[in-house]
Amino acid sequence: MLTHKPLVWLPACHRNLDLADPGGYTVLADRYAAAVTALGLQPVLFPMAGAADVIDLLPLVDGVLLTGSPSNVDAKHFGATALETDLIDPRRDALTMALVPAAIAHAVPLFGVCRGLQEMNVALGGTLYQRVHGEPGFLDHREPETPDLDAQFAERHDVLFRPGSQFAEWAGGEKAQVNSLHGQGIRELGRRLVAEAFAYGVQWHPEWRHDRNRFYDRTLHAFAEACRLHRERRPLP
Amino acid sequence: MSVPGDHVPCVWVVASHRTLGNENGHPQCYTVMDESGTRTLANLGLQPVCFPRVPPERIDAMLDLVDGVLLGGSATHVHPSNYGETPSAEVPTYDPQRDAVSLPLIRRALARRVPLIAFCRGSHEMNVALGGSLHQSLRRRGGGVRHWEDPHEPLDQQYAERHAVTTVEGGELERITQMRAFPASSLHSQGVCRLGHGLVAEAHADDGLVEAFRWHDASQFAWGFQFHPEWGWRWHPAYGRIMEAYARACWAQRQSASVQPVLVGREEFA
Repeated sequence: MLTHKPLVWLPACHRNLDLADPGGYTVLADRYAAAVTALGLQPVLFPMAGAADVIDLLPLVDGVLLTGSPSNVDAKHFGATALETDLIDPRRDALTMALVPAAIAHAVPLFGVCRGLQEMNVALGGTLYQRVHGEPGFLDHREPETPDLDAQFAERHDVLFRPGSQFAEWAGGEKAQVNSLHGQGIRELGRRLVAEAFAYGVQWHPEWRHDRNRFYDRTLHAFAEACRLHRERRPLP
Repeated sequence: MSVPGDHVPCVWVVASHRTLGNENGHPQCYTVMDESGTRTLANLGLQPVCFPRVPPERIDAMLDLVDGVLLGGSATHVHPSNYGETPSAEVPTYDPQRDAVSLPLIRRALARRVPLIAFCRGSHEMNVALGGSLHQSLRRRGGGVRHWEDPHEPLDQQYAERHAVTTVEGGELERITQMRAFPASSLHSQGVCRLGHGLVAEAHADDGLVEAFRWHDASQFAWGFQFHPEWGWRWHPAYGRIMEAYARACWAQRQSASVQPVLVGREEFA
């Protein structure tokens, strides 16, 4: 049987590596590539791609996954000023602010994780809390200060799903325990869109040990299935 | 309005792998790409692309999507087991994940006539992929030319031209660069020892080290350079002519591919 792997575009981050090697680098945390690969998809990076390239490159891919990152969305994109402590990545912002609406408009499956969810919200006109832990009435959603990755990514709080929602179906109920490693969070939701598109964002990290968490795994597999459907429908370049 | 396939040539840039701090500053594995190569491609009007975690059996399907391959430099070395040697003690870092992609990719790109350019570590990979071997330590080899950078220098000084390179008289590199000799950057501690099968030396340093080589069939662009023509190509005439020749080869590949029935990614069998 003839098969082919759907391609998933992961907008990368930009950073220096260390003092001894100070050049600019395009980087992707390997756990996202590992999760995408485990779903039977092929990760793709387009280094140096900017907003103007989105319309040419989207026809080449079957899905877009916006990853988490040590950097935050620059607050200027939602009408505020970045905190002095913010690590920002203007090139990633410039790409994703254009990529999110384009992916939705062209019905390319879109999935946002952590920073990715925040980018989806901001790109659609929403706003963020810059320090959720400084807002009255909110939990501290940041990860604990421990070198143990399993402890950092451990499930930390419940999330509640709207009855009958897609998330409730993936979770098999209206509540799930999720991990939480973020300082920014959604304040006002972006505008609603009516589109025949798969476009979901989650504040938690379903890519982390998804093989051991049925809810995470079902969420990611739904994205993979959407990418496969897109692959079958899209004209090949 | 854009139509599918209406894009500039894509160049597969092979990535490296490093352990970096994650969101919380703690170490995790990252795919990393040095931007000196990708920025030069973008400035030449080419689109860099990379396929993290591509398994070797999918390389051909991914090659269908691109019009060129670029293998850049890295702080790591090709693992000596790939050329039948054991690691010398003074060489600390390897990147076996990169070797696993780059070595078969080079052989497939050559077989399919996809334009290929390789710098520094990339040129070592190209040599090793074709059965060549490397000097694991040029310091130990001696020879009177200093090939390695001072890690305490700023990056611009590390990439400054450090020694002369002489092209082979009447050769292809002399034709491309229109030069018999030019100053070249030099940031490496390893180098070509035995040249791989089917490769032809096109330039040397004064100590005899191979500084440039190509695939024996000069009608296809497939070159390895020990120096970095991607760094400073706008003002260094030899670098500029090399990079422009590569870009032309990628455009020619794109145009030849676009008139054929393209089976993008459909050559994988379950």
